[in-house]
Amino acid sequence: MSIRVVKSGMQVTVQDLGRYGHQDLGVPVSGAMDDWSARLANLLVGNAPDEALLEVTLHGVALLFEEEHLISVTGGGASIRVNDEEVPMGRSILVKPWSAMRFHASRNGFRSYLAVAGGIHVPTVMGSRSTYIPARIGGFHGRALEEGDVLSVNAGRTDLSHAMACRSMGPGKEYRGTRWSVSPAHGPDLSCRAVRFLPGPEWAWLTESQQKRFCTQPFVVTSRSDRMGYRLRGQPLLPEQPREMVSSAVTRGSVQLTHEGQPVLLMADAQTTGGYPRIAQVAAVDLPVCAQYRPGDRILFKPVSFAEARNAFMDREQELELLGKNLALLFNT
Amino acid sequence: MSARFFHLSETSAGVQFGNGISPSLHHLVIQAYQFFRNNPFPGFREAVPAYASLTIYYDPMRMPRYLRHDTGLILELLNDLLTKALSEDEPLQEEDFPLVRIPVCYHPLVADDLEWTAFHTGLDPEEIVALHTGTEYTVYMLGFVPGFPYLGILPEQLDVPRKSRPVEAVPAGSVALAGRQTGIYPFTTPGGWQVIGRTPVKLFEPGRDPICLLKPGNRVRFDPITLHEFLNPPRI
Repeated sequence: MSIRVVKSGMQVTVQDLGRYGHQDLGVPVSGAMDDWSARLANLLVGNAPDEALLEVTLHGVALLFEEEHLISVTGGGASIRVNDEEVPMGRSILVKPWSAMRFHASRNGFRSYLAVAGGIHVPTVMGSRSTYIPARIGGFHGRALEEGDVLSVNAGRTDLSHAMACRSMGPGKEYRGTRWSVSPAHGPDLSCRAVRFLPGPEWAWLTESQQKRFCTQPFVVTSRSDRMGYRLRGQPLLPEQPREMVSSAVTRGSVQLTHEGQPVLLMADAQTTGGYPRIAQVAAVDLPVCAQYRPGDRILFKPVSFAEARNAFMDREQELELLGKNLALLFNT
Repeated sequence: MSARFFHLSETSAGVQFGNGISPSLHHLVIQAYQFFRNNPFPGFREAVPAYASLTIYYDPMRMPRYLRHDTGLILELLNDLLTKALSEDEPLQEEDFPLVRIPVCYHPLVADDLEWTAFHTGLDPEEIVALHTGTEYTVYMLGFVPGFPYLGILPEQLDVPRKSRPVEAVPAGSVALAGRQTGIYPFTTPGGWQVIGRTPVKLFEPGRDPICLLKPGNRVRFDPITLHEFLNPPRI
């Protein structure tokens, strides 16, 4: 049961929902940048939501499936072709043995997620299969995939995966897809440019007019952006008096202000602690949208109350839980 | 003790004990850190210590229903637990935080900033080494990259500022100074601390048990080794 990497593109890594429990040793959480799309992809092939899958950055990737596989692709940044036939996103797809899958350029988004029924087989390191490249841990030998790599797929599929593979598969020339799919409205809005934020612990270090500017001026995602964080650029926000703080915790979604007065939005591979003021915390529900930004995109920060952010977060979690339950019901498993 | 609780994110809360680097603040942090790890509440994911604060990560979906939406109640719950943690006032068990001895080579070949540090502090390199190895440190926290220990408290005479411009690649194993802290770079990374030596010991090594050499609260001492010993480390 294997998948061969024919072209590795910009960056493909194995991810799950993250490595918790070792941040006290300085080990970042990592995991899928757009965890919403990742979980949808897994649910669509009957996997547990935290199964290991592939995170594909932009396009240029080509894979060869050596056997029949039940797969799904969600997220953005690419359009998918199987043996040169366009394949829809957000749908369970049964690919024939020796099918080639290519990721072509598309207009919106930055990262897509390819889930395979059974999950990608990689060892668990410190409780997770997520790749964290700087420390070379997790995923496929702790690194991004390269041309010629052969990934194994776990042989054990869930009953739901079996039911999905056997039933309700519509006709297709190069592949067979389900007649049903998950509406894009159930995933991140790839054209959304406004993200909600909570004031960070050092929000009060900004003057009132700087706070106002943070909420009204758009910030550009610069090319110095990766899985660790996005360096943003706007009119600098310099505190009136430079203040020193001792290092304290930062997390995915934390917005730190550098000495140059530019914000850095921390993402999946966020370091665990930092010494820059944490002026804002992006609402967890909007981080999948951020994961889909490309360098050059503009972000607008909109304030939100903690209660609102938390409720939106819980709604999302419950919606995903419900989707999983409904799929199981639909297939009687 | 005055602790201030705040929401860091929808799934984490911070407890601020103060601001600064001090053994008494850190004692509170470690006491609370140990308590939450030994007495996890439903939904608890992990606790992350820093100099003067502790951050608690949790999964609201695994919390009792009444706590999921009432966010004020979570902070109250944490406050109650913290009060309990600190009232028990059990002294931290020394065996929980063993002393780790780390060999360091202070030869100028592997200590790019030793000469600068000598110039800045007005001390001889030998005096710097004597001060650096003559102190027992505590791991206040780990961060920056996996396994990077923030060790304190550095003798006042060795207090040096960070570099104004970080170096692109500080070699793995570099032992460095900044303010009243000393630290060790586990990987070759950019960095702005003043490098005064290098250790052959791996601070973070996947495949080894434990992967990470040091834990928060560990005590640390540095032992000077020669360049020859550094280049030919004994097999452990």
